[in-house]
Amino acid sequence: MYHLEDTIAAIATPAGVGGLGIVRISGDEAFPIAGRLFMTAKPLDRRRQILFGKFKNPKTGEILDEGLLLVMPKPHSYTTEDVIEFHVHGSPALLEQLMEILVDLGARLAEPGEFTYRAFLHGRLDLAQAEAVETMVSAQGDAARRQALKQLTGGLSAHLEPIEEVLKSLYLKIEARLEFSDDGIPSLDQEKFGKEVGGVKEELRKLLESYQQGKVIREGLAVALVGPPNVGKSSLLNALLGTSRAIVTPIAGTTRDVVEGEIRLKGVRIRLFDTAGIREAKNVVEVEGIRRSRQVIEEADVIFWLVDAAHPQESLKELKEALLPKDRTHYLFNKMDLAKTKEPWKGSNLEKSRCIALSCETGEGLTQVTEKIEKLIQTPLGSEDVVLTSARHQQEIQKAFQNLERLQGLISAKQPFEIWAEELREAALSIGRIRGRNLPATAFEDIFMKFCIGK
Amino acid sequence: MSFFSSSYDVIIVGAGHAGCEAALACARMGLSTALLTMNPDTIAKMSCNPAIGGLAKGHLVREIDALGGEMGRATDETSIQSRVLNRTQGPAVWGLRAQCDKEQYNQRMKNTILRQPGLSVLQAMVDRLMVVNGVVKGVVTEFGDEIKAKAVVVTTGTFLNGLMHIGETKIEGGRNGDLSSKGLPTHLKELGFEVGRLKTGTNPRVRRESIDFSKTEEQWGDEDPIPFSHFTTTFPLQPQIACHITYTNGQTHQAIKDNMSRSPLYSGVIKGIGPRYCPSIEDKVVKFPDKERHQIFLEPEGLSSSEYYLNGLSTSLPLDAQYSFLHTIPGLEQAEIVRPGYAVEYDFVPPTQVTHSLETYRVKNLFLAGQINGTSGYEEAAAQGLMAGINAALAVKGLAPFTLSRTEAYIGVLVDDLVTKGTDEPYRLFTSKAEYRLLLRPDNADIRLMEKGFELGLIPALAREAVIEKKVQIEKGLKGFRTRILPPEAAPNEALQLTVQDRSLYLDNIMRRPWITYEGLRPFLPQDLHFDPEVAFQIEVELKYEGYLVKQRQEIQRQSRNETLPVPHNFPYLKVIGFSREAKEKLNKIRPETFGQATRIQGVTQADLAVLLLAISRYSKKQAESAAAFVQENQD
Repeated sequence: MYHLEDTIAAIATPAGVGGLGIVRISGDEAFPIAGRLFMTAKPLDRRRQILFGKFKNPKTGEILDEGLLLVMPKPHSYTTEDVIEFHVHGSPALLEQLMEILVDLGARLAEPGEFTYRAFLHGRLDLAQAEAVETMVSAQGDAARRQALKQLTGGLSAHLEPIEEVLKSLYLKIEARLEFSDDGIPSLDQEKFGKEVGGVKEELRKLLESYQQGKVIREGLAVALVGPPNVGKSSLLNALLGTSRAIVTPIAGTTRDVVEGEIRLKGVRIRLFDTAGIREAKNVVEVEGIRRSRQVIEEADVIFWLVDAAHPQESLKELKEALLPKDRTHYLFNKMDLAKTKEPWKGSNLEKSRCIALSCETGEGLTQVTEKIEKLIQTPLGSEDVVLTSARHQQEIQKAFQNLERLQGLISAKQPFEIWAEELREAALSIGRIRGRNLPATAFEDIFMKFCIGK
Repeated sequence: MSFFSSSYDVIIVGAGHAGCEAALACARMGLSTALLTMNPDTIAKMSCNPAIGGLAKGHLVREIDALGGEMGRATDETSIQSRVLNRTQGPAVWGLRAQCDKEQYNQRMKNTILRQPGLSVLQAMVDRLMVVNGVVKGVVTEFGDEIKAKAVVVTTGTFLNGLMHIGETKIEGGRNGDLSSKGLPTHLKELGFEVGRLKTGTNPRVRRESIDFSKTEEQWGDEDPIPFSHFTTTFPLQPQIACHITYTNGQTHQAIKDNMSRSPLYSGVIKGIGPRYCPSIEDKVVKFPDKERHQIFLEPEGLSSSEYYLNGLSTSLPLDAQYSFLHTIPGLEQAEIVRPGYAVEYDFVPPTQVTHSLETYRVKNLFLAGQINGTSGYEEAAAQGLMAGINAALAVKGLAPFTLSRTEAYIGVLVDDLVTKGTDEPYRLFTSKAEYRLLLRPDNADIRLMEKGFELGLIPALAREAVIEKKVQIEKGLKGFRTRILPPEAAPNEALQLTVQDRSLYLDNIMRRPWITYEGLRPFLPQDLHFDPEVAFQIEVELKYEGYLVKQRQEIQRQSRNETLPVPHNFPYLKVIGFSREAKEKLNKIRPETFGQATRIQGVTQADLAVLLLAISRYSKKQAESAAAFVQENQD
């Protein structure tokens, strides 16, 4: 069912690579959302206009593309609401990324035909046009149905079906005990139940992860170079840009000084970020620099911590204070040409497999660094599990995941069943929506098959 | 040919749980009302189990009470054991349930009816309705007497073509010992109503003196029982007694299997569809062969009655077979059957033929309530009876109908399910059928509904003022909890697990912790945050469930536009291009009253709904344009 209160977003150009790609949003939030995505000197004013400028990801500050912004304030737009169009280059990956950001900023993905639908309801179309619209909406609904079916015959359905089944059975276990508490159903084995919840959550986590992996294919891999001053971060960056023999795209004029360059390895964009040192703040500008470094670290797929191989103790001391996420961090011992030992990580508690000996001066170890990156790209790409590609599906699975996370909290805090049921019902509804089902009606019917109830 | 003629505002046909509520509501709303029954001795008779309430059903009774209905008060006065099911599983799923003294219950209700000013009781069987130009004008009894009325409520229970089965024996009647109504169902078909057939069953009743209770488990009610009615001040009013529990075993199941060929259910004699949530013992044995035993409750039918109701043993096997399996059950080895169990088949009018006010589409001012609408259960019947009675009265007064939505009350869920989905088995309400279960709690029925009851004239002004004051107190309490911090003397506190850091937290944050209760916190609360238990309970629930409740309220808000968007009843669905075939058929049959109702029809997809919304707007524009053209032409 269509809601009319929220702001909707959709890609308006046909799927596939084209010269031009258009993303359109409509609703009360259109202006604030566009304001955060489109870089302008002053706030967007409410008049019909076409602007040229850059689009940035407000979360990372990354420049996505440059292009046109078409501003159509209400009521002079197709839907009669505030409508804003983003005209960018027609790359599917870019358009999808834009959509994700829009959803992040509070828009909802539009259902098929929803723009036209709003247009009609707001009296924008006349009677003669309306009949055509009906047919079109219905045809689009059919197309969407067919599309969904097609997608569901693939890998996603195979993943979701068992998940939905388990969720349903967990939900029924609770409902049966609530609705028929007097009917002699054995009391719930909470430990087993908790394990089953954990199991489904793990499945959902894998799907979400696969979405992240798919994202690497679409958006590239972000690598942060971090470490104390003068350990050779910039030298490494230059060396990587030089040795890769790929096209170097230095990005100028960005809002963030840390974006340094981009290379391609095995067809995947590798974005390299050279960060300001973490502990060198002496004035306001530097404080800002450090804040940005932190953000880069947070969002990077891979973190390279550089250690001065000649004086490893100092660098490692700072490492402790930097509090990096261990699972994403690798350690590069630079300036090996000046080092006293061949394995300078000895004596620290770093995993040997995460350490590389390097000299930007002599070129020693550079191949190992690029090989490391390639390996990191390949791990996700090698697996066959990238089944989750749609932002809409990702949204629903994320919601279900959060439901189960809360449910685990409810179980351990011994909260009443009635709110367990609420979380389970919502989780199952989310998964059901991906599969085009309406759960509650059908789920409850199964109670009579699974439990002997009734007096 | 007429021997007797009289005239009322409203006639109620049938004096069961639906008919009684309907009659009382009409009379209390100031209309002259006649309640027609085949037998005044059976007014408000509990034909099946001697209990009222349970999950969802208890919720209904609370709502009936908050709207000024009678069932809650009658139950409290005649309760002999009271229990809240799910007491540890959260307030929204508390199932208030009471064993009643059956005889007391029907005496109590009968006297209330007979003493009600403006309400006449007449023994009569209705043979047909008087319908003129699609409007009901009264009824005709089997003796040919005509009784006129401006509105008629039909609550005939299982009596329309009632047919009872015990083994291979068939007896006509709506209840053992009673008659069956044959004229009315035929007449309803003549009027063009679609009529279907359902089946239900009841359990054997045995002599108390023949039960060996030493072989059974005792089951007592709650030590601090909660009454149903908002108006009950002293409770319980009479001694509380125990129920007993025993179990079937392998021998029982064998005895049932040995006789299965003689069961009318399994030999194909019974055509009506029975309820899955209330299976016969034959069904249980066949469908769950791995289950070693089934639970049987021995429920007393009353304080002075010697009959015991065997809950869990619904059966339609022949009497000798009932004996042979009964005698295998511990405690029932010597049991003497007073009334055998039996199945009953009856006609119903599939409820997609009535509106949300329970008026039929086909005949104006004709209302249906209870089992005739395909439901089962005393509480479901009473709730519909109350709504049908209220709406009959409003129709006579020329006022707009009174309906409740799914987001306001279980009564709303019940009625909307019936008129939107119809039913193919006797319909029973469950709490999981409510989308917003956490909001529709038994504890807040008064807050949700009592002011509405007052506006209808069914709730006294004093009660309404009390509810308004209660709401003010709750608001005040919530504000206090959200804006005041924990006083320093409260923390640290080991029992409440409060630390010094908690001193800077707002009280609502403290309250949200699972182990904290209002009572536990009370000694540390400032004087103006001391509330009486009912108000404190509301504050506690509201704060503890805040996240869930806020979300559900937002969702309701989002959908309110759909719920209030009307769809014209004569909308030409078949002419709209763009519906899927299934949607077209369903919409055309059910004819939703609002867009919101259309969204709940099975088989109607998102795309269909979009088409529908477009088509409605176009249709109303066209209507407006042709009306304007008409005016134009006449002016010319």
